[in-house]
Amino acid sequence: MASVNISEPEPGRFVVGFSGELDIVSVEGIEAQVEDLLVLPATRVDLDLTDLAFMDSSGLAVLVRIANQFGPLRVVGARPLVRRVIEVTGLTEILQLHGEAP
Amino acid sequence: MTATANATATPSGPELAGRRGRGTHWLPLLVLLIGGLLTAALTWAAATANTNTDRRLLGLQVRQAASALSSALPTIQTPLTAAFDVASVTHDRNKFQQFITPDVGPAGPFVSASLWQVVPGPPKPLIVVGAQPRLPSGENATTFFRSVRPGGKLTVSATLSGPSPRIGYAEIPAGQGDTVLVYAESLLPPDKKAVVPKSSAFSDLDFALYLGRTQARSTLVERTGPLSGYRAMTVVPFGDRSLTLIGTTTASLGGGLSATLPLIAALLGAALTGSAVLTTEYLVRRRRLAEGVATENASLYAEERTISETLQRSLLPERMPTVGGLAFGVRYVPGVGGIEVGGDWYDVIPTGDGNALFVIGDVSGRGLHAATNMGYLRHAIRAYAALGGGPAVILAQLGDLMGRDESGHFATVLCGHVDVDRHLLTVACAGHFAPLVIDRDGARYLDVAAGPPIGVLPRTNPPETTVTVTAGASVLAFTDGLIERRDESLDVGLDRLRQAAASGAGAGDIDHLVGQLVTALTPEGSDDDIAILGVQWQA
Repeated sequence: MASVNISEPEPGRFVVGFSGELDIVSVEGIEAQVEDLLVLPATRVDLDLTDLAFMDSSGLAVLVRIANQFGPLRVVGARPLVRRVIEVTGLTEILQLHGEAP
Repeated sequence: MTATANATATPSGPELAGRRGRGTHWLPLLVLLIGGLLTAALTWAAATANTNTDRRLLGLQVRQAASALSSALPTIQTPLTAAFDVASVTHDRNKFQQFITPDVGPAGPFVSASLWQVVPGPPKPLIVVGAQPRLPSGENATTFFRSVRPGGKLTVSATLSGPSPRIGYAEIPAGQGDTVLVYAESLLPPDKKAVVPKSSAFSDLDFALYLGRTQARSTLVERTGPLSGYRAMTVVPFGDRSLTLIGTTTASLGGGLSATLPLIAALLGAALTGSAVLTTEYLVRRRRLAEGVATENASLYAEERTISETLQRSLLPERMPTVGGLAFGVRYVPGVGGIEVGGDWYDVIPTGDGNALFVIGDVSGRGLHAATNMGYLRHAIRAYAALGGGPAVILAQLGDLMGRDESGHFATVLCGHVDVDRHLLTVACAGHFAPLVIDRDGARYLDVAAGPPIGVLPRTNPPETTVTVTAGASVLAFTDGLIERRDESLDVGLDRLRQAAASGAGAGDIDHLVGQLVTALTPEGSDDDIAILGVQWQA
């Protein structure tokens, strides 16, 4: 199970939070929400992965798709397990890993 | 050097349909047969029980009736004996008349009572009370009176026929000599037709009463009517003779329920059998329908999976090429449970100068889309390899070709070049795991910086790393299914593989090692597919 939470702390800046497990099965369940967030009037998008317990390549594809839309993303709160997936996949250029969520 | 797979055999739809579709018609018939037999048996048992009960009850009633008849004897004999004794003691025949009169006539048991002198000479009446005795006709009267023995035993005549038949009794009471006897006649019902009051305990009984053991018209005392069906018979003593009572029943003696039980059993059994047959028929039809759907689903599933899997396998090299000085070991294991196969692949491309390129990759997503993309990438790499580029060049060209996939789908690719004679390994990596190098000193991951996966950035320019390996060393490339676990960091899985490879090295050739690793590390029931490729410099 995965869920998406979108907040707008300041105008034009959105924080997209993923929680649960983002994998081949669960990405289908959040397909509609991802479609919605791709058309957000955003000038900047950050990813909050604090509550994301697991991510496979299908989940990674969702993040890449968001980055394709809005440019390189700030990723905060990624747990080591998730962080390593991004690192090993060589995606740190577009999914820029930062520390804890503010 | 085999491309083995632990692929599960897919069930064949038509075979399933054939095996399960037949042979279900007989079930309702079987239920009908069993239900019918049970109903018949139950009905028969109920009927038999009812019959047995009726027969037993009939026998009981007949015996009771006979014993009632038998016990009626004193009501006949006692007044006669008493009247005789009174006359004998008083020597007054009129006392006999006085005493017996109340018992003679419509209210009493007799129609006629009389005293007879039988010795000496022919019998002659001394006094007659009531109607004239009819007496056994002719000589029979003398014979009858002569047959009466002193001692108080009642001697019973044959029935005396006539318009209103009678029966006669004679007695010489004990201690009264042998010259005088008392004789009486009772009326039998007209036409010997017995009438049993409705209130009687024997009102359900049809019977015939015979004097003696012979059942004949002449010995018939009385009867209710013609007897039919099962008869019960009993014989009881009556004076110097006996009475035979034959009874049958006009109604079920066991009562209404007992009689209707067989009918109830039959109807209920038929109803139950009918509903059981209908239910079974319904269930059989439901099951057949469900099986049909299941079979269809199974065959659709199998078809879909077979298409994807066939496509994927067709995109994997059927066998490894022969490259002098190198040995290869490869495995592909499809994930279980899912309908769609993954996009993992591997390839070995001889470069024509005696060396070889190897590739392993993983397309994100699953199913036909992933398999198609994977095939596209594999053939593109082969094309760029033919142009003579090294791993980094090939991946850069591939990145240019693919550009940026707006859907977010990407492919991680590891490309390596093996220089057989110089023992050189050159690797470039697009978002993929670094390969594992195994030699006499153990196993370690090659330190290679990974560029982004193919399809993420418009351009990619991954770095290239070259190392020297020892003779007999191996390089092992793999996809995430081999090391990834949901509940642990990738580093844990990577280290598990490294240790397994280090301890398994030297146990055999590279094909053996690859097979061993797949067996040891494939998670139970994993839904991710696994590709693994090993290249060994032969010592």
